[in-house]
Amino acid sequence: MMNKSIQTSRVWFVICTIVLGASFALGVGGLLPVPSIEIRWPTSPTSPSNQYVPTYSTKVGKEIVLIYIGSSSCAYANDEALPSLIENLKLALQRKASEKEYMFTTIGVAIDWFTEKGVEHLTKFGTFDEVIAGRKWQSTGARRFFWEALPGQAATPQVLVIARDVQAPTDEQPEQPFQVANETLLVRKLGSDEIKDWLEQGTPLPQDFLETSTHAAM
Amino acid sequence: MGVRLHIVLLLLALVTIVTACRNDDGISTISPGTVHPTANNIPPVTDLRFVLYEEGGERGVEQMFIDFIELESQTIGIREGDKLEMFGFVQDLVTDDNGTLYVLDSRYNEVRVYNHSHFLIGRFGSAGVGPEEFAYPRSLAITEGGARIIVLDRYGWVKVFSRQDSTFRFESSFSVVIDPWDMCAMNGHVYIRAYSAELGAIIHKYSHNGDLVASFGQPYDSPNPFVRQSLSGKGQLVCSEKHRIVGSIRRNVPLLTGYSEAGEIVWRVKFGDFKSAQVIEKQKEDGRPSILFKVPVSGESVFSTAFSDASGDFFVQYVTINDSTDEVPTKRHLFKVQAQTGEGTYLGRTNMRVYAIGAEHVFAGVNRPYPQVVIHEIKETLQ
Repeated sequence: MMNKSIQTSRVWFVICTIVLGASFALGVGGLLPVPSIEIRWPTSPTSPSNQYVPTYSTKVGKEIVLIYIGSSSCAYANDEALPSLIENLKLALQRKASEKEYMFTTIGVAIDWFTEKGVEHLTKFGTFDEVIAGRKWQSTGARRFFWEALPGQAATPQVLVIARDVQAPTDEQPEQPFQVANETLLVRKLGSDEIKDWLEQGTPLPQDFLETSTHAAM
Repeated sequence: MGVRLHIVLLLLALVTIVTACRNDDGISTISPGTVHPTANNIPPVTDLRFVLYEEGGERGVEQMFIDFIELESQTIGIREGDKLEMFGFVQDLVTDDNGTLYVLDSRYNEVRVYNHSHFLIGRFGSAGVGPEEFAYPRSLAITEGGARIIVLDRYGWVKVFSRQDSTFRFESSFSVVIDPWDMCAMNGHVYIRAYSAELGAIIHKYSHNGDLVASFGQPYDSPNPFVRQSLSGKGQLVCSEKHRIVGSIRRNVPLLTGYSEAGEIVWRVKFGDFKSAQVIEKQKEDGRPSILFKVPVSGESVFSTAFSDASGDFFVQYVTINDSTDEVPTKRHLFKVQAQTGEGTYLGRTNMRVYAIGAEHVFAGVNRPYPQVVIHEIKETLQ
């Protein structure tokens, strides 16, 4: 009785081995579809990186926004040293926002007549969460950051940092509209020298506008 | 004979048409390569009492008026803190007879007011395009001993505020000639420096309600209207409320001209060591005129600030670019000119941009590495 049981186990072992071996051979040979599996350790937005990467997510709560305004036709905005300054600014502010548990986003604005020229200019400055290009001094970006909502000196290159509250419908508040509110200018820097100084000073921001607030993910 | 007459008449008509249709857009009067300012725009000053040099004064050559870096100074504005502890950008500042300090911040779009102990006692203005708001404020003036504070904003909007203790109230706003460069105020009027081709003048006197009272001051002399437009308005204004004199400086011209309230030239001072940065008249490929303001090089100077003190005298500061091998890239020279007589003296060098001199303090503003107001206590009487 025991000999029969051992013999049965041996048969199953051999069958399994043959099936596995055959599957492997067929998979390697491409005759059977083989899933690709990749193991990656999870990364946080503040993990060391030499390039800014948007989070591509939508949340509600306090947000820090970095706006870069340049132009393909402005000699100062095409200074060779400027792209790395702006990239370092993005990373530095992203870290600061993360420390306060704020969202962080970047906007690139090109003061150019032709959108292609403007986008080409902004491409030199890495990745932005969103871009505005075209229509020169009458663009949505120019209106917003020079003439109307946040008026200031119309000059390039320029960076602004604003703080704002991002609101959206949630399960608890389904009637809440999509909107941004309480937009406040924290910093405006003009020209490479000012931008460089500010970066070297550690991108100081008004602390009373950076008080921690709670927020919920969508 | 009849045919020849007709040909002659036809030729005459063609010549008439061509000359009549010539468009006076300035193309025909361009002189590419002309370096400005031209000699006819620098009136001679022959009386040596009114020619000021950097050497001089009892302390001799290279005297230091105030060393803000080495000497003990108080500062307002920190690198990082609450918003009211930081400045966005120190654009202008003035002080009144009581030692109250008014600082115009052109990035945070407001005026901050500090008492004689340099504590913040109030502020007014905010970002916006409304009457009480600032879009891009450029210049600040006070009058009536600080009872009125006047701000020159973008697009030539002048905004008048009144002060009662620590309360600041918006009074009025009005629009002046386009493209104003500077402003000062005295005795119930606001003076704007801006070129008006229509009025043929560069200084315009307004009431606080915006009524244009008078215009005076000779525009830049050039046969080309574009050059005239480009070089006439740029410059600085300073008012002496006590002596009723308006001081005017044209960019790149080494002169300070004193006008009466009625616009008559009272005196003229020349800065003998001031070498202007070059301005080149050019012509674009399509024939249109253009102006190139060259970056100043070693030995050339640029005017920095012009202001008055409680006694009504003028102070003028300019910056001279040093040789690239020098440790210090620039030298800032400060002069005092008596508004009543035009006689002046060289006070010496400073290492910061001086905006105001009070009874007991000298006020400077810096924006690098971060915006600050630097205050130095005066321990000796100024010359």
